[in-house]
Amino acid sequence: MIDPAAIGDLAFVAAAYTVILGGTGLYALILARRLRGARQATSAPASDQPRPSDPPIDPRA
Amino acid sequence: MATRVLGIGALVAVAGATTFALVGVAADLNQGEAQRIMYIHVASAWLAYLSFGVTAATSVWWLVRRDPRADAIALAGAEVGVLFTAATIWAGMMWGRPVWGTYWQWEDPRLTTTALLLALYVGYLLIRRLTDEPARRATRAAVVGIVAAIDIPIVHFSVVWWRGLHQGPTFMSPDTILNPPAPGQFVAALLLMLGAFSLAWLWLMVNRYRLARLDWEAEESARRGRLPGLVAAAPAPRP
Repeated sequence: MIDPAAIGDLAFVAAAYTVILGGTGLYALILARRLRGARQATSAPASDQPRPSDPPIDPRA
Repeated sequence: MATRVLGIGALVAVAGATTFALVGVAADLNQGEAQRIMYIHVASAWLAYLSFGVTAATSVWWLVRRDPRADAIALAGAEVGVLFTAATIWAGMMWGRPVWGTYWQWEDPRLTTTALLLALYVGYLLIRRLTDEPARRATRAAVVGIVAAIDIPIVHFSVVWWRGLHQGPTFMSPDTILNPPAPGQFVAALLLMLGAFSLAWLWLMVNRYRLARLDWEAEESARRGRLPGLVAAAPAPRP
């Protein structure tokens, strides 16, 4: 049974924990997503970069 | 795989510590239910100190050795530290309103120096965005990271040096750690939260470090691709 007088305090407790845990969780999700994106970008060959099999570029051309 | 295990472990530990802090521990006689905020507030504050301490140490490492790994750890520490400092301030405000009767008081040295600490490391992150050249950016950021760390002991000892609303430090000496004045279940909840948050902190640090390393490598390879000397170095066909 929750003491009615404590309901106000419980709202502050809930606000403190929800924002911190939610914020940290959100940051972790964004971080994981950015890391996955960076790994994909690193492993995929860039279309504007020369590949090892490409012929050498003539600087006079 | 190890990072995934760490992440799952951190998630379970944070859930367990939060449940224990919210329903497993009795409310404080004087502060009531609001005292439960202390567990998450103190844990966040210590990890904020640790993060910025790591940033300062690895900033020195960068300036001495010019090792890109040092800069990546420094960046991870600053970003995660900003997160935990913001969490500390938020939890402190939510605790202050029911216990002190106010969310914030600028005259309090602990509150003001903590706000300054947050501003300094937000500045650190902003300074990193001023240049695209990785080495120059790392050097500028390292200087800021070291100077900003001067505020860490000021924050910690502010409650000893000056008078304000904030109570004395929770952990000041080995004696208070070994013989805490608070009841055992309060200390257990605090240590449990500290351990759980430390696991989460470690996971965030490892992943932020990896992201920083990938970003550095991508920037370096993009810069190398733009250098005309590398293109001209290709053997030209004979006429």
